[in-house]
Amino acid sequence: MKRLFLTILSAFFAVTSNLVHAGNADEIAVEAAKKYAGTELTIFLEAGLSELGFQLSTTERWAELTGIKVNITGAPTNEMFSKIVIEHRGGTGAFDVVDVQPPWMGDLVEIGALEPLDSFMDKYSYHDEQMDIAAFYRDAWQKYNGHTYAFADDGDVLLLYYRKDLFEDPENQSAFKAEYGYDLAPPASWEQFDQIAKFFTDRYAPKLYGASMVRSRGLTQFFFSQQFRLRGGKFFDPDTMNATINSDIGVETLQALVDRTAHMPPGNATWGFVEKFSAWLGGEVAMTVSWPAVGRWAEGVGTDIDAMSWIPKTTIADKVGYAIVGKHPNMAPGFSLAVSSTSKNKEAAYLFIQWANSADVSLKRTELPYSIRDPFRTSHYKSPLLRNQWPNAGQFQDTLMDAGAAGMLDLTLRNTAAYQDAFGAALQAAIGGEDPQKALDNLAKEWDSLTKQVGVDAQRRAYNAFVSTGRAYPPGT
Amino acid sequence: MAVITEFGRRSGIFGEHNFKYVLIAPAVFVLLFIGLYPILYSLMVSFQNVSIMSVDYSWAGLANYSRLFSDGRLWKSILHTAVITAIALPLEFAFGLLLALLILKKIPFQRLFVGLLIVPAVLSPVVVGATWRLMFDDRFGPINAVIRMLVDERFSLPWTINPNWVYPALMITEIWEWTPFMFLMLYAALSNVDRSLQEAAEIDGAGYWSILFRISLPLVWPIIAIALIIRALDLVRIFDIVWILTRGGPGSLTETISVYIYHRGFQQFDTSYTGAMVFLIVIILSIIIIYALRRMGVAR
Repeated sequence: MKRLFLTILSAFFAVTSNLVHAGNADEIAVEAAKKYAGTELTIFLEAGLSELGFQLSTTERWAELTGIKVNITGAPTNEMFSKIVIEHRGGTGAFDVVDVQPPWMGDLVEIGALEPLDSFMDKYSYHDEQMDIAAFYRDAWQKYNGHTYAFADDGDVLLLYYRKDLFEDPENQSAFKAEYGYDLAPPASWEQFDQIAKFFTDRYAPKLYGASMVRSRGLTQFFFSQQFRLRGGKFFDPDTMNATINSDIGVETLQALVDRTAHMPPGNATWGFVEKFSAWLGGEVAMTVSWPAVGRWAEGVGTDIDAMSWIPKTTIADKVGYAIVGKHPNMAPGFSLAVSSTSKNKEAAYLFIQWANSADVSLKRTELPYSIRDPFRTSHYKSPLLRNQWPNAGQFQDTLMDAGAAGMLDLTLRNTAAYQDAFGAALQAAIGGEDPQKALDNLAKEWDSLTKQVGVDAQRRAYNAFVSTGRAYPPGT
Repeated sequence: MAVITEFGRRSGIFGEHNFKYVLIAPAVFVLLFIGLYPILYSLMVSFQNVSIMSVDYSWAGLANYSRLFSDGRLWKSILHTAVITAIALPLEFAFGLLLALLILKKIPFQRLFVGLLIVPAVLSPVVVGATWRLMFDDRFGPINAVIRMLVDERFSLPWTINPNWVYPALMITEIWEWTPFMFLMLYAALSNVDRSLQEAAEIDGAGYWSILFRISLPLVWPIIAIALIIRALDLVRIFDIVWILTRGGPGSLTETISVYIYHRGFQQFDTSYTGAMVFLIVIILSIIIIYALRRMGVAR
């Protein structure tokens, strides 16, 4: 009896101690990391605001708590993959922590650039708190071949932002209904988006245009991808692995994307993220589709600090509504924190990412407007802190969560970065004036060449794995 | 083996004749190692199968070289490079010559003008590319702003992605940056032409242009030839300005050899094939340079 009682008591403490540890992933990480005081780590991030966010909010706090200094280095998004591979191949050990886009993870794991995290997670009890990461990010952005290699750390998803005041204006509503036969409301499809954009452009240009969208090379493919898949397009023939991006659906999608520029401010054809949100914050357009950071900046959240002085002052605070165009937005690109396999301080690096990714610390990071780390945990979406940042911030968080739940993953293959680069170049060619069919034919040829380089069978396996996530294409297609 | 034949004189490798070579040999070996090793290593890799997917150092024969002939994008990049060289080089020479002739005329504030004229050439090509990218920006750039003031406020031209205007944008940037180099070379060369020859021609009734084309320029031809070869090689290697302005786009319309090799080698990590491409370019360039040097009469 006594033995049974002691056994039950031991089991009770074992389970509850795990539960206690699971709720304190940041504290566990800090305590364990103190033995590495005096060590220096280097984190490799997307250049710009990501670096600033880590510098101002994360690395200094970590150094205070553990005595471990974290140096920050970065590169433009479209150069990050190259740099990580070059550093790994060179065996320099220059990076300890790397921020990776989920579609790159397979390639980086295959070449041995990322350290598996499972044993660290077991050692430092980082399983229960992981379950708070929204399933749509956790399941797709962290594992490869059954092992965890990264922690989802940035809930990127493309939302529609629209001017509520313009949509709710009675004169606009009656004029739109008279012209198009349905009520003026946030567009449910890209066809409606185009009609609404044209309506506002015809009515208000040059003071205001219907929409602005990113059109720069390296980003446009995220928008095209969603529209292409919503129309029923498929990237590849799964049997032959021949690219089918240049199908009729592809050409229609690209033509529509090119034609959409007519309802955007002059010069939008070359706009990147900064120009686009400048126009949005300046009240020059009625709609935009963009990343979550734009939602906060539109409300002026945190933009009055020195670090954010380069962002134009918002003229549209309290006038913005949120929606999803086409039910299944693109969850792109997203970032996950990983440990470099050539790091000389792997455990310290792991503890840093556990701490940064923990529920409490990550909430503080997503709250910061300059960190451009977007909510990715269920606790983030429900956080009173985030839900009360501005009057309808709650609706914003709900829309983000719904978007993630219904979102589609970005194309993930072997040598994904090369496919992405060719994709961006082809779209830019069409935006610049090349015939969309020709641009996509050239793209298909380039993709087929890349597939041959990778190996058809290997690429088929990767593509099938992507499709089997259930988030490669809209359900039922 | 050294043999002392008389006090202070030796024969063999330490002999007076050969000792100087012994002294410079270590430096030469180091330079050769630094210069040749990467080339030889690239050559070796070009016969292997190294890529992002596999680090396979086994012999792959001529597989990578045979790919060269079916790679349409490579040959297009060579064509793009040739077009840029064929247009930019003569224009840089012509503008440089005109500026040199103007400055030679002892205008007021001559030294100030010379100083200002060479500023573009001392700037980093990346800075130049970034500056002109802003200049050509449709929304914020001054070029389109001025055109809008003069023509129509709705004027819009995305220079760096419009297939009809992307090459003019590249040429303007490139010529703006490197005409000063030509100017400097020609100015220095023409400044040192013997005036007595020109005066003698004037006395004989030769006009300004006759003196220039029949006396001055032929006298400085070796300098001109070197300047042209240097600029031609720079244009063949052009990367920074293209990368900053267009990244080889729209599509691959402005992709030069260097941009394509970078793309293949450092973005797609098709390492062995990139090595093969590099050697193809080395061979082509070597043939052209040797021919050009002989034709120009420089290699005598």
